[in-house]
Amino acid sequence: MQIVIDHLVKTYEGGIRALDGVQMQIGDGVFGLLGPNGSGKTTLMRIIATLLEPTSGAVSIDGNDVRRRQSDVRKLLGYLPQEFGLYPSLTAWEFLDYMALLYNVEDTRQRERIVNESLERTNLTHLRDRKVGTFSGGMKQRLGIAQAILNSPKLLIVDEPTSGLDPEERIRIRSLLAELGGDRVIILSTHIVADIEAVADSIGVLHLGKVKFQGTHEELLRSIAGKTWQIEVEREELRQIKEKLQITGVFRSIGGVEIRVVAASSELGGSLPHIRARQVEPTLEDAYIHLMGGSAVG
Amino acid sequence: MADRDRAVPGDVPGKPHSPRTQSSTLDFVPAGGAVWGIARHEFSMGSRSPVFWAALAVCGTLVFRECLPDGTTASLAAYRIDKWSAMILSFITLFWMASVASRDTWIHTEDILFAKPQTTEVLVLGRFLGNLGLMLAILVDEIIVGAFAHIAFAGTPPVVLAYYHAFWRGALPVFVMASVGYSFSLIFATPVAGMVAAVYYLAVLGGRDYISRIFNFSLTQNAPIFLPLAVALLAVSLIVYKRDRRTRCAPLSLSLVILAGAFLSVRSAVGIAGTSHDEPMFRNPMLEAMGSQSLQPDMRCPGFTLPNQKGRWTGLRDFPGDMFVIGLWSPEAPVSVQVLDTLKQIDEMFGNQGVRSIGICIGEEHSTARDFGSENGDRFPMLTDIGARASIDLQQSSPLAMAFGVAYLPKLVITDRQRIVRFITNSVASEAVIPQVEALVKGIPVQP
Repeated sequence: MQIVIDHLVKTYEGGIRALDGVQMQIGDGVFGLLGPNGSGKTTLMRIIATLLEPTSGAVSIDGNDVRRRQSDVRKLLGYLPQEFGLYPSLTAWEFLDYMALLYNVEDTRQRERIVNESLERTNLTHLRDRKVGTFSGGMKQRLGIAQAILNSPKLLIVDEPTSGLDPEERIRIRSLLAELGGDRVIILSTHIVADIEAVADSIGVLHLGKVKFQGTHEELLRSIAGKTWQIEVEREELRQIKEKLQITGVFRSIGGVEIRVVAASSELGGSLPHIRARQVEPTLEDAYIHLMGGSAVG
Repeated sequence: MADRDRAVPGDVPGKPHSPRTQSSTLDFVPAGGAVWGIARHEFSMGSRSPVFWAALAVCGTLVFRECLPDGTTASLAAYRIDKWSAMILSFITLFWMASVASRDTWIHTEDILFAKPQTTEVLVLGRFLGNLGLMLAILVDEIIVGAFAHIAFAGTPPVVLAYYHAFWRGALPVFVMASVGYSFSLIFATPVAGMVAAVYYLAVLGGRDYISRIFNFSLTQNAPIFLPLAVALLAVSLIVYKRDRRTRCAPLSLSLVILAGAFLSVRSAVGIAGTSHDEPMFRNPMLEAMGSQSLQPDMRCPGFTLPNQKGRWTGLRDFPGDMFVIGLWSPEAPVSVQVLDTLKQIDEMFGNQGVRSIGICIGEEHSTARDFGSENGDRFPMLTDIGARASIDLQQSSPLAMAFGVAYLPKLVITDRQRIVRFITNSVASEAVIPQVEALVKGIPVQP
């Protein structure tokens, strides 16, 4: 499956340009769409999911233009929005049965089978008769994924699926997405780098409606190869360093604070000649923050 | 028309441009199974709501209280159920349906639903039917409670036909309110829009003395106007909703919809005014002529031509040489309904001696005469005063009431074979009337 995004522009009423000429090509596997809040990720997801009209440009999914062939595209996709509600008085099973009807599965036995499969894949079988209104955030998120995979979609779009979850549920969702990513395209939109690191095969980075990067982990990491350092500093020095270098991480240490910075060695020596820096392996977070020029960390 | 594809595990359509998967912006091929499946879930979902159970309890209690006997017949009990249904359940339906139509916006389920391939028609129709079913369940609850109250406390046998009629009479305002509440909320994406109908209906109910009956959608004679309007409104709302929320088409201009709605309303008004006497809208020369007569003892009885229970226009001239016992009644005056028993008794005793019982129902609701007649197994003509409208002053309620000088109901008039008025009474007791009829049949004069 191939998703082609061509010069996509979306301008909302009031002139806010959420997407500004986005171009991307997405193939099989898990594609991580990374970007800070307000970068245009959700807008892009909703356009691909046929829920929003672009101002200009085009998106095609396996040759189906999302504007002209909405019905065909909807048959191909499963979508979990960033913010969604569920009918609280229905049980998990009933909710999925309802959703299966919206996938045009009219045969009762067939519906029962796919609902059970979805519950099983999302590890919700034991909660099938429990009312959705009593679910925790993580359970709701899993049920959201369950409804999105009812039709075994060739394209699964999940928008910020781990946002607001506790670490245990976050890991559970990540592993679920990794499992599902075998033979389909999953577009995982998030601002949490660890999510992408865990499951994405390739990455796209959006910032202010524009694509800042598209490629693999390795390609992104390569951009800061040999430039990542860890430095132990006094708390008082932190402000001064922040002005000179791009900090990608701050950790508490016994003597004070340890920071991670991305900088060329010459730049590091010029800025802080007296400080002893230890070169470390770059992480995706380092590369992402470096790419965003620090804006991702506010 | 377009086929619907099934998307199931292992059978996801992956062939683009296949004729089987062609889509259109307005695909009016509802999938029966999916519609009923969605309706079933909606019904089940709504039936778990405390609001639903509260509505069920309130409506049931009010009807129970209303149907406790004070000389109530089964027909009257059934009529009162409808009255409460039109008064209370209609508003509950309006609020309920308006909320259902906006529910997805509140709880953020729209994106999940709209990303699915199911057509909007099926979704909208399934939801409407499921929730309409819930409101009709409350109506059925009212009927059961009303029937129970009547059977348990009045001690008279139930008349199944009366409850059957009650259901259909009660279902009309429920359906119209459901359609209006649901449609307006869909179009304007807020339940407040649906509430506009509540203001309208309150005005119609409150201003019945001044507003033409045509505007009251709970009257069954207005069903040919309001049922198509309700269905049309649903269709229009579906189109607007679909185009606004789910397709690439530009939003349909709401002014066009409003214009279409206004046109249909005016057309409906003109249509119904042409077939009935509805003073604020239309004056019927025939009824005007009726109103210009006057009931006087020993004078010729005012004439009339009104539809009977079969819809056939019937008047005194259809029975030349007969004596007439004319009973005027209204379900709004419960005691007056007992005149029907007297008329029935006279019909059975003197029908073969050229005595003709005629019942005339003076009430806004045109189906009452027909329904009461069939429920009681009356064989005599039961006429509907089509000129009747709500009025505190009974004499002003219709030209016929004016002609007969109706200050109280019932009013019973006996004529001789020359149509000369020989006896007038407000009594419902058969023992007060039968001796008079008997005397007149034998040619003995009676005191008017």
